[in-house]
Amino acid sequence: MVTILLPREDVRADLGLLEARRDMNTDLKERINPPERRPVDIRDLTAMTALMRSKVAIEDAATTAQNRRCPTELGNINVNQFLEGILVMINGDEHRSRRKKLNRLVRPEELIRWRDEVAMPSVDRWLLNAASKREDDTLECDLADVAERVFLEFAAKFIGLDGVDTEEGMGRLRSCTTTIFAGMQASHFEDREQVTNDALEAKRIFADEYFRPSFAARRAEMAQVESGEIADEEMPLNLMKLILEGLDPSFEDEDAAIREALLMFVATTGTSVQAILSTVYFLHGWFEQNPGGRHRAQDPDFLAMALQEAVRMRAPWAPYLTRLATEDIELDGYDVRAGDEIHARLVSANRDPAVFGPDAGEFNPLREVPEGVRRYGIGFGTGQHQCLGLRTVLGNDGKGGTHVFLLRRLYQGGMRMDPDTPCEVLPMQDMDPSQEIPIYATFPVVLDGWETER
Amino acid sequence: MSRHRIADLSDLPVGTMKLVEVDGRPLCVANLEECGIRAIDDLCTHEQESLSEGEIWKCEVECPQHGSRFSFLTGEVVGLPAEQSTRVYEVTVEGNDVYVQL
Repeated sequence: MVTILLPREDVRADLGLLEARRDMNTDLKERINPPERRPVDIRDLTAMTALMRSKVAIEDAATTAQNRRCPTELGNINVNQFLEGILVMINGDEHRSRRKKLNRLVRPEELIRWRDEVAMPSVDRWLLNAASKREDDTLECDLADVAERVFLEFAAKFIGLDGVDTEEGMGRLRSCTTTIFAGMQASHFEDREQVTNDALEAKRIFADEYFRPSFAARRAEMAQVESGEIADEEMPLNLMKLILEGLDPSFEDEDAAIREALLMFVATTGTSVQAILSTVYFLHGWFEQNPGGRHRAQDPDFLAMALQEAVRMRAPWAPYLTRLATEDIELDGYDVRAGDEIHARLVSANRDPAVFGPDAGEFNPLREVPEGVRRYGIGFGTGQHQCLGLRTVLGNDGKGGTHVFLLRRLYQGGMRMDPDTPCEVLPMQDMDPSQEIPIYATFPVVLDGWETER
Repeated sequence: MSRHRIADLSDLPVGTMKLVEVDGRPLCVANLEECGIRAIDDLCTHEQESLSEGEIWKCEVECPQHGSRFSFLTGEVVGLPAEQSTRVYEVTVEGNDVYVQL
């Protein structure tokens, strides 16, 4: 096993860690080096919903980065380099103000653009690029590879990044995807040092080779808009455009803007890929048990229900989310006190038999849910912090989303899991052993009838 | 049913919304260019955010937090993530006085 040491002192100085530590005030010091906190696991849906809707269970970068296992230098790096000030870690009016402006990215007319002009054309392109012909003239490919390229290109356009149109540019950015995804939640991985160091290098590549040149290009475009050389509509809407329009004053600090871009990058790629693969995996088993339902594989209503059921079963593809209790909270069955570190076990809550019935642990796209309960449970979050991309996934109408159309396109092409080659999954720690939440690294599929002119 | 005076028309320019409270019930009252003066419950059925802090889109309002959309005409959800309709109220205008039926 290779052990990679923490960044040397000169590197840490480059990262601003030492300076930040010298200058930090008492409040910041408390947040970066918090006292040991009592962990509280919340596992049932009613208590979880009440907790996450309360104003006293907040997201907090230091709590999330460090949690009880590792209140160390690695946690400080995680805060400083990845989590501080990003959308999912801010609260109250600060969050409301930024989220309101970000909602422009997922308005109905933008959703159609993302789906029809960005995602769907790239499905055809990357699938044909990755597929190879089998002896029986059908195609085979690794759907994990294809989905990752599709959503990586999507993420680049969503953020405003250039440089992914070529195989080389795509490959270089792609090499950063899993690394940054892991680095942002490094506390959940066994070899945290290596995960953190790899993520720092990936962040450097992201910033130097993609973010900075792209942001300069967007700034130049904005100058053309302001001088009247081009109309505002001619400059595509993306995160960088919103930043240049004044999304949040904190983004005058370049690294804060890079951290926000990294969040959008991993949120758009990692979770989207796993949502698609999990839906295909579950539907494969469901169609075997319910062969009469196969004809619904191209029905957007059905696929939207399947996607939501897969999200309920597996999101957020991490063992838990972390919240900090700022006041004592009375919850049925839980004693939560101010200062407690709450571990929101979303997967457990989303399989709560008291809400979803005795088969809550099984995939059933036709599940009937009680009134007031969302089909996806709290898989897209609940309370103030909810997924910005929900309408990208499901559409403004609940069935016209990018992910629904992508699944339909694949099933139109006769997609099925490769019976001869199993999927490979990434190991994670601290998962509830009774609940299988695989992170797919490969996902071989066969396409019996792919036609490019669909 | 009871009628309540809720605003001066002059305080509600076209294209704006405001929060008013009637008998402890928060309402979102809007003056819409294409649909006139309308009132719905102010709290989003999704996560109880104040719709009057959101944005007007023709005859719809977009929640400021998660972007759900509701029709001012019918109260129906016209954009996820909300799933439950909101309540609409009958509004009348007499001179400069805006009334709502509760």
